[in-house]
Amino acid sequence: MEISKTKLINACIVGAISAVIFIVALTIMADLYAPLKKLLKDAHHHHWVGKGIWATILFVIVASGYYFIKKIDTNESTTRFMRALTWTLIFGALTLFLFFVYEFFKH
Amino acid sequence: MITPLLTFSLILHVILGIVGVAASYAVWLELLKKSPSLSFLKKSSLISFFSYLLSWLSGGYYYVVYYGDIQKPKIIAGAYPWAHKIFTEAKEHIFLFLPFAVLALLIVIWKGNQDLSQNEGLRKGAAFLAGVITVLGLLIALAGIIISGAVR
Repeated sequence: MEISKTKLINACIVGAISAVIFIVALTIMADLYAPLKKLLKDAHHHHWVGKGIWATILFVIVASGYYFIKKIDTNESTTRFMRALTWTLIFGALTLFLFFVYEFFKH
Repeated sequence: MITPLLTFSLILHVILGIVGVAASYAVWLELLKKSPSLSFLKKSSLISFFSYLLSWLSGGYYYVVYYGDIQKPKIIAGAYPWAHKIFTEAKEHIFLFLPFAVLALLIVIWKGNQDLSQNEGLRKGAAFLAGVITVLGLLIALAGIIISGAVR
């Protein structure tokens, strides 16, 4: 695969990984620290909208940064990054689900 | 009060969510083949991406404009408060992952198309990603059914 194509693919995958981690971290932080949730709500009408907007901004920044900074890339790194994204999705979803189960029984 | 636009956005959210799950399932099954059809993969991944994205936007509109003020208090005051506190909360945030993951898969398929049929590791990695996207989409749809049941 051409290096520019590989870089574009890897940039998107790395951007997606960072967006997922960011959503998990921001969701938990905003739930535990009410002023952060209020800040997101005040700035974007709803905290959920704020999380989506900031995750999209982070995705664009990380993906562009990766694409322009990285010089050499390989198919092997694409496979590795794709597996990392998949496991991030699994652990991210599990973390959020268990967090809300914990919050429900705690209160 | 629910308006025709809100009803339409809820229906769109459900239908496009189902189409998104079906399309990502088609991508997953195709990627499990040793020689996947690239044109089928391209079409299915494109349908999957736009379905999840539009389902995300239409569901988001319904959630932000109507659900939070009208449905959420009913569920919390009812017999099944866990339907909102666990399932809606988890669903709305896990759903935020999907468009990013599906976009990454779409780029892998569209830009790395030839390599998918030649590089087994790449194809299997993409199949794993498509499988997890499908399962998450399915679980989100099931959470939607639980939440709808709790409103009644």
